[in-house]
Amino acid sequence: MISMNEIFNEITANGGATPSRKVREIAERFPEKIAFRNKEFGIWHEVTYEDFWNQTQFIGHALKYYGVDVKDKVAIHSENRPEWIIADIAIQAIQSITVGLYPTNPPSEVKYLLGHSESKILFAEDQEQVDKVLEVIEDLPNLSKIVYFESRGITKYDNEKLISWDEFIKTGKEEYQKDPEFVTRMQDNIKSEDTAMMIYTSGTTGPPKGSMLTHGNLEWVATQIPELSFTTGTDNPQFISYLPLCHVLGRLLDIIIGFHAMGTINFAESIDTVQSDLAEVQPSAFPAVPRILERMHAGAMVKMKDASRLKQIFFSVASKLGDITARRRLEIGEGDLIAKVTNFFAQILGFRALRKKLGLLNVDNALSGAAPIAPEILRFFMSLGVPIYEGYGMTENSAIATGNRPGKVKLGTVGVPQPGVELKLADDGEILVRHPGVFKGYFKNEEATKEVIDSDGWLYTGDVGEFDGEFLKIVDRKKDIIITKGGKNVSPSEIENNVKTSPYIREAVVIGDDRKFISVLIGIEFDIVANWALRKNIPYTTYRNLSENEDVQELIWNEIKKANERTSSLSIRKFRMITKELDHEDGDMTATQKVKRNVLMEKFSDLIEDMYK
Amino acid sequence: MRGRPDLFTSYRNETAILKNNTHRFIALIIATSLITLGFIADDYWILLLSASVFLTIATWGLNIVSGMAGQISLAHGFFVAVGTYTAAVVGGFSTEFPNKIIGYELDMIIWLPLAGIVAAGVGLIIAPLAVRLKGLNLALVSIGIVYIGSYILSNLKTITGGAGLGRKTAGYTLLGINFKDGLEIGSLILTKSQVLYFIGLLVALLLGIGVKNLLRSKIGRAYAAIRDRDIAAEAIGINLARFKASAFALSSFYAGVAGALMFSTIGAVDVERFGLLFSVTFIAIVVIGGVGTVMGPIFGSIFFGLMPGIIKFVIDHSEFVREVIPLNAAQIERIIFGLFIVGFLMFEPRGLWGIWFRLRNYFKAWPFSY
Repeated sequence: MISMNEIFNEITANGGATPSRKVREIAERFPEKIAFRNKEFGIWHEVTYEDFWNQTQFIGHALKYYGVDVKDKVAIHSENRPEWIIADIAIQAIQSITVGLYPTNPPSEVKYLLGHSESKILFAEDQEQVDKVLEVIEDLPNLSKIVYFESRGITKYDNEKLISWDEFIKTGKEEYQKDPEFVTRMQDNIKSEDTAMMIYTSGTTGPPKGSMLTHGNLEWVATQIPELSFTTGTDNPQFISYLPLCHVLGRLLDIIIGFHAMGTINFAESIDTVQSDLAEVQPSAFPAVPRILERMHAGAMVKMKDASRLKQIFFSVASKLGDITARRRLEIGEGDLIAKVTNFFAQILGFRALRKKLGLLNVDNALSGAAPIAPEILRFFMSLGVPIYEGYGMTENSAIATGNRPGKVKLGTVGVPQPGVELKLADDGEILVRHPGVFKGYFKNEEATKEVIDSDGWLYTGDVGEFDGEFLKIVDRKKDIIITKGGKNVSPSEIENNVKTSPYIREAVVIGDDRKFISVLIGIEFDIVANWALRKNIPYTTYRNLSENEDVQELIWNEIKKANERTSSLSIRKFRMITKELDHEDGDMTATQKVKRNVLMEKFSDLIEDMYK
Repeated sequence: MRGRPDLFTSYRNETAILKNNTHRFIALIIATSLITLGFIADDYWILLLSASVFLTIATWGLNIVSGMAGQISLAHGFFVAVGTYTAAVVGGFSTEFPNKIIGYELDMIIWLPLAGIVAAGVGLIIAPLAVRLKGLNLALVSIGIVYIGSYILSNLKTITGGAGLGRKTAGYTLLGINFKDGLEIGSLILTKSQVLYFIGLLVALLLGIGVKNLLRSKIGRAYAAIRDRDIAAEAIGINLARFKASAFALSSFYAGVAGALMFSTIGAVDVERFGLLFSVTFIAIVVIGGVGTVMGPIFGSIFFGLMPGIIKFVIDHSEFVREVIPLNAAQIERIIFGLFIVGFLMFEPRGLWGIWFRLRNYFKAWPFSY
């Protein structure tokens, strides 16, 4: 088998390929290599690259058979699973364009996304997603077929547009016999400026916009792989696919880095089992969003509280040693001898076991991205000995902008520009990025495209940043920055992340624009507060009941006071509890679990006004 | 998968007996030390070790019917007796004085399996009782079997030699080679006890794999279903009569094989050995070792088998114990054994295996507690 060094050398020599071509190349060179592992009923079923490529070709043929032409859009609405990627690669290979939908998208959004993208065919995971589209199918004249992956509950549906994945493949197989060269021929004609995929950015304001990423964008990202801050260096790397594939980060990791590293992509059995699946897979690379890392941190802390006295003592000693490790590595560098010694003992005392449980034992590069994270969380993982680096990017620049990297880490910053990236700050502090990975534009929205890309090709990210030495620090979204009545500029996300370091707090929304002081709306981390209440013998019934409990309020206020002490920013003076769990389907959050600030402000305006009375 | 011991790509490797290299390594260590012990230990300890091995086999049998299938049987000792006498008749000598006792002097390769098969047959005959009865009633009836059994055995004088007299056990011919006075393989000289010990190990290995396979197969799952709730088991399509009968038959097979070997180390056997106490011994070993597992009976048997040796060792080497405790070794043994049964039932019903299990989980959950 090929080693990672050889793979990197090949990429440096030949450049990256668009994912579908890469898959074909691996299928021809290493047909027996495992492309996917999908867990069903406890067993990881394997699919080789050869099978993968064959199925891709069948799907390509079937798409053509059902009328998908060059530049037509095909949508996928599913949790991560092999079929997602097979369909995606097939769509791209025949020069059509993939549109990904979040599994949590409600019918109204499904209607908007499919309608706006003019999708011709939809791959829907199961009955749930099929039901959503059937609800709005009258308004989707372009949609001619719905391919479902799981037939449970659907077999009795009477709609001539429905077809199962197996039948779809069967059709493709028959078509394949007639013209086996079709898919490869289409593939050979792919041009770099052609759109490969459309990623709808969930948008905390306004309807989602479809960012068009071209094959050229993907190829450029692939070319950068040996130099990127978040690629793994281990041979035969194992990836775990749990970040939504319709999000740029999930897609980037799996279909560009995963395939270029000739790795295996493991699919977790379900969202609920990710933690135990992680422990089984022990992936080589671990891309994460802050929410996941916060949960891991909070989970470990709470479980530690339940541990026996002896184990707690061991753990606190290990934590002390871990702190030293993290501090020295940050100050002096990765190779520091004392850090090595403290890390060694911390590992023996319990961190190795903890990392194994978290599934981070074999991780040689963990990444936090997609949203700002509190430095305390990163420090926790560093003290465990997990090499974790915060990065920065967005859909519009193929998720490539900056990243902390081994030997170049500064907590609280998003690191240094990735290789090949031009980055500068505008006069008002807005971060501008230019590189060949910058997207082509928003689909059917020339105006918005012009707003973000200027004539010189600079992408206006909408984020305000500042340089801390050579490291870039993100202040906040430009439109989110708060100016208090006293005229002070405050970055709400910095304060929010600081507060969210507490394991008890899941959501924090800072308020203070044109107000006399800063206040915050708090959503509790239900499981952990419930566990705390149990220990304190505090009875509760529901989320709301627990949130409104006086003892819980006191607990949260103490956590906020602690957060106030940690920060140099303005301190929080008041808070109120959000009495419901925030949810995508209710419109409180985007599909990527980012709070929709303006929606919440409106929804909870009575709570807010109450604080400023 | 390599480096990822918990990732299974098929049910076959998830249910494998030796799942990973750690397991294989431990198995190798145990095997080597057992074999080495066979060469270096003196005859007295070999006898105790052999007793442990044979007890293990018998206890596995009880564990099949009681631990796995949940049918309480106090008659296990009777099936052991059936095995012992089958072997004695088929493989032993016939004598005319003082009583007429029959024996056919056949090879071990015949009498050993036959002992198991005949016992299994007797088990099958008794199985219908278990189909009709359950719980305490079954336990009581099984006590009845012990009494009926020992009455029959004492009166079958041509087979057992009668109470108080007994008879010689099966002969020591294996594949035509008689090892009564030891065995010479090249420069290697093995005593009779050593040969029996190694035969015992081999048989235990085969039968042990048998139990393990039973546990992880369809039959084992059916047994577990019956144990946990027989009505529910029947409702999901498990044929109670068939599986209960097969549990008794299999259990008796193990008892029979163990019985055939158990007394051959001594060379003679008396009917009075097979009283109720003998049957209860197996229950005790299962309780001390751990119910429903493969390893439990091994722990329990080693504990029970070696205890006399350890007590003797302590008494021989400690002036103090001899002076303070006015009891002989056998009496001390009984008391300690009794205390252990009470203690285990009260504090660790899952037996030695449970202690091991808890210990393992303590470190497995590290640094958490669950």
